[in-house]
Amino acid sequence: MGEVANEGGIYTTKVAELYMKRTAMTWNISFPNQDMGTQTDKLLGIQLAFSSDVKTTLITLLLSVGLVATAQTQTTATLSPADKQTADAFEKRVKDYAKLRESVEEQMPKLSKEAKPEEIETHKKQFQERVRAARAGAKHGEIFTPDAQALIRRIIKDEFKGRERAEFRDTVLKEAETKAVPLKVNYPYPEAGELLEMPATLLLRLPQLPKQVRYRFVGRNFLLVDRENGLIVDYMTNALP
Amino acid sequence: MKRIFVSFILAIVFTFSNAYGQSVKLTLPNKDNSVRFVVIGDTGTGTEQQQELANVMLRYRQVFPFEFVLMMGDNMYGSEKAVDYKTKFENIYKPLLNQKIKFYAALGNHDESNQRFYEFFNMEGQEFYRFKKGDVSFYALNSNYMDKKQVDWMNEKLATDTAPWKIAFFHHPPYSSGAAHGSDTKLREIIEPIFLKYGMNVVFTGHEHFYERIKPQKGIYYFISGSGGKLRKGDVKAGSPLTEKAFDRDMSFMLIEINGDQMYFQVVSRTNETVDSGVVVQQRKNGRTTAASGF
Repeated sequence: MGEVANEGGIYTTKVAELYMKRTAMTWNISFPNQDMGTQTDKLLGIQLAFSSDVKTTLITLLLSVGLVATAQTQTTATLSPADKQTADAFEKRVKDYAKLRESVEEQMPKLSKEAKPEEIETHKKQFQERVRAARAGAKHGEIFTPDAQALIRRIIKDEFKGRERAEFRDTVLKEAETKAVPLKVNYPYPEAGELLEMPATLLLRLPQLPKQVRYRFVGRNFLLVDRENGLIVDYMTNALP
Repeated sequence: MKRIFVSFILAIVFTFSNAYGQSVKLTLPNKDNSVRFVVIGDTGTGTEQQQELANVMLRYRQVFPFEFVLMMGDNMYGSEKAVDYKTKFENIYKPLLNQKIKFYAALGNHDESNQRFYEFFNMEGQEFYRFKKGDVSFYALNSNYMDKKQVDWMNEKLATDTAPWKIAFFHHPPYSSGAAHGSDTKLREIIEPIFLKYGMNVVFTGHEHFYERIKPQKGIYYFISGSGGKLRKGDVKAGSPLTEKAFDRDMSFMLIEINGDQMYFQVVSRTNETVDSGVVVQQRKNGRTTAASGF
């Protein structure tokens, strides 16, 4: 879908209309708070389709189904049994880390939801120190095992193709302010370093992480970072094709 | 002696007129029962320019008593030590904080997650959250990390939300005419269907260091207000088909007033110039989205 410039500001462009019909059919939705046509139109996109020009609309429908199918393929990673096993094992290793850091945090004074800056700073520093001590022997590749790395590389490669890949590489490699980030397990991600946005469509395809841990791109490398203490949990190199 | 005295008086008058003398020109109706707020983004530099813009906001507060401020993320550039919270936020907006104005923050790509615990960001310890004011539900999202948990949360909250107005605010713009960044199409692919499904009315974002009012997209009004502390001069692509109105010559903030089925807006620059203003009509009642009409 390209960007839809709305001439005159009124919601009437053909592309936009097609999109709405497609959306209505695909997600089986109604528009409780967005009146864009008659009640029938709102409730069933298919009925809209047969309103005026049947031929045009049938073509639209076929195209729409195709587009939707493509979109669904792109956003729902269908894993083979072997890949599923790899993803499950990876998720379990990350969860084990999350459990460990939770057990550490439970022993610390809880940070208030209305904390002072000094409290936030102190909590983060102490949290870092304690988790670093608890994981003193942590090694690179313990979580990103070779099979997990291979799977993740494949998903990333599949997500970014053609011009999108070039643009994303530009963002990650040239524009991001992440040069000071050390590639070391159990080291803190510098607080002045940019936390580059993770593409939403990619996040939905990658193995799912517990809320305490985040994926991050740093150059061509791919990191697992703890969102509160900022420690690099593990990393893999050459993730970005 | 007389000449020195006159010079002294003139100096005082000049200083006073610079600081307070520029009159504010409110274009909003300023009705008693309205929901009134400010939108700022990409503020956290701690620079003199950020302070100057905050001073203009304060001046408008005297005639337009807004109750709260929405922050579009990048609340703190660079380090995030305790002192940075002071120099890049508290000191700058101290007069507003003293008047009990609440700031509601979203996170940007320069913000640590721990900001969600900060007392003056009112995030309740959450990276994404909802709050209500009058007839309006506000959804603060974390566009930096739009994972399945957040998508599920949005679906769950919006499905039961009966508020007449639904407004989302977050950092990365799904539509933008910025040359440096541009539209975040990956994010848009995920959130736009949800917005359409549940009737999101208005979306405010930042990230781009300028102001842009986007032509309504699929019935939704999008605004970018990302020059609260940084400016990317001349970054709006000339002739962009998305632009209804843009301002990239100086920093700015937005004043918003919602009353009934109308949302009024006024955009004010650091030099106290009104660079855009108008009204949008709630989509539900008139059956279609119309372009914002300027005053």
